[in-house]
Amino acid sequence: MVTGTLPPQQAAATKALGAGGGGIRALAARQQRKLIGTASVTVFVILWQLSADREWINPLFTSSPTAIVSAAREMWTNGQLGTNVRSSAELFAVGFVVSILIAIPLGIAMGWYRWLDAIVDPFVSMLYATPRIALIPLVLVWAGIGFESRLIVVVLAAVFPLLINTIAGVRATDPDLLRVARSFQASDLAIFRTLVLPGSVPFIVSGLRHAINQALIGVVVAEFFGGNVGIGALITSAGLELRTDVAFVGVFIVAGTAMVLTGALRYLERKLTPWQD
Amino acid sequence: MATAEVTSPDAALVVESANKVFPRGKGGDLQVLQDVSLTVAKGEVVTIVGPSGCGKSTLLTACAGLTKLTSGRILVHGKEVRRPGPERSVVFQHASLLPWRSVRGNIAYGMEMQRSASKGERKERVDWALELVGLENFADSYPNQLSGGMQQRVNLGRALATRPEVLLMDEPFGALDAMTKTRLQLEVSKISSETKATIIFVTHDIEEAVLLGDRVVVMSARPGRISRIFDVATPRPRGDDFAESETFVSLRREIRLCIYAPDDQRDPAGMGLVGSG
Ligand SMILES: Nc1ncnc2c1ncn2[C@@H]1O[C@H](COP(=O)(O)OP(=O)(O)OP(=O)(O)O)[C@@H](O)[C@H]1O
Ligand SMILES: [Mg+2]
Repeated sequence: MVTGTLPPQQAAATKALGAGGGGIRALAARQQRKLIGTASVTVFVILWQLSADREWINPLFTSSPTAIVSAAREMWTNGQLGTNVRSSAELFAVGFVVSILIAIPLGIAMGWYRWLDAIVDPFVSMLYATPRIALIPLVLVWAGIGFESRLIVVVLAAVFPLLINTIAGVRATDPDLLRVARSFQASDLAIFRTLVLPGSVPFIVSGLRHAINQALIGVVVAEFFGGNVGIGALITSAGLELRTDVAFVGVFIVAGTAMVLTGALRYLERKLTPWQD
Repeated sequence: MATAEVTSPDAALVVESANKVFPRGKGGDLQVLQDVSLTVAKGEVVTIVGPSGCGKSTLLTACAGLTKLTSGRILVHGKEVRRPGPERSVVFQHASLLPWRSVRGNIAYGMEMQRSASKGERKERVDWALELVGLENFADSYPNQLSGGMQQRVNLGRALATRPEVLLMDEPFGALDAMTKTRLQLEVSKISSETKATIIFVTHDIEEAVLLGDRVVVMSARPGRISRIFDVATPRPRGDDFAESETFVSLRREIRLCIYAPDDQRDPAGMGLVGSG
């Protein structure tokens, strides 16, 4: 059996780090953190630029902030950036949606029907334990180089964390609540609708967060291997041509996307589970 | 023994030689209830006290239809209990509220599960229950915004809104502070006279048992049997002065003796807690 992550613990951990809580002091502390963070990043960027300008480190290896910005500008104007970003975004979006469409219904069914879990779990556990990168050559044999094989790689990466969290969420239904529902003669369907589904939402959202990160990894890895479009391919070819500035443009796009999506999900989490905290 | 004789047609609940044995594999079976018989009249409040683990909760969940007896039977209004029914509601010690529902939604939950009452009537009953448990001003709050005592009042309101003829309560105020407890005890008195519900109330608090019950049933340590039933003749609801009255004090003493030194009463050579000193 593979177990999912426990969102309440996560929530507690984030709280302990000082993210939650109201009050003026907490607000001041948060702003102070932000300020320190901004300052440390600024110092880092300046040092990076200096190290390149003064050639403390060969700029061929580390590039420099200004070189990266001008590379990005050039790639933007010649359309190279737009094409690759569009291609990767499409791969990510389709892969993420397909993963959701597989993982959530299957996870709910596996959590609810023990027999289905008994049948499917061995495969899920095995696939989950396998580094899925090892499957890429097989995927290429089956689907050839192209969008389909890239999609399979992304789905293989994203589907499992979401699936496992969904199963865990369905299983985690509070037995006390179940007893209360039974004492009111609740039908199985009513129990499912009023207890199981809402109770698994925090688990599913936590699974979505993992799935986003995994899907992004999947996109980059799939593009390393399969084809010549997308941010992953851009980074690979830039590496081969020793264009570190171009490679960094790709890396920053992936990193920025990850941060934006995770932030969006945190917002979604607050909207979907206002009863937590 | 001054047990009130109740003729069948007036009986709300009849327990007939109930036995409950939990099979325990190697360690031998665990006899929890032994030959328990009890008749409760309509509108009567019967409180049950006894040492921890003597089978009070087991008896109550059997009445609720959540636990099957090994032998014997329970009748509610002449009909044998096989499963939970709309004429009975349970209030457990743990409030067990749905965290994603407001107070209003939680109070409506029992009715919703029972599919009793029309939408309009449900709303009316929610308002009625809200007022009864004194939570009109918190109707739209969520459980995590309520104190423990308020949560327990929602639990009570949820059961009351189904308009049960028989209310089964298992240490509902066990985890509350003395002040909240007193207030809620008053509310139970009020409710029992207002709704004419029959109440079976399990508690480990002897004073609570005497204060609330028309009769106090004392159970012996496992295997749980009824060792004595005390009548409390003073009419309900009983005010502050009752807790100081001679009746109250002497009943409390007798019940204490009955629980802590049962063998002194039945068998002077026994190993009663008091007798051995
Ligand atoms: N489902 C079960 N399986 C096995 N044993 C059980 C089960 N439920 C209860 N018991 C056992 O039956 C005995 C009586 O339990 P019960 O909960 O009825 O006691 P109680 O009188 O309510 O105690 P307390 O005052 O502590 O709540 C206990 O020894 C308990 O271990
Ligand atoms: Mg109990």
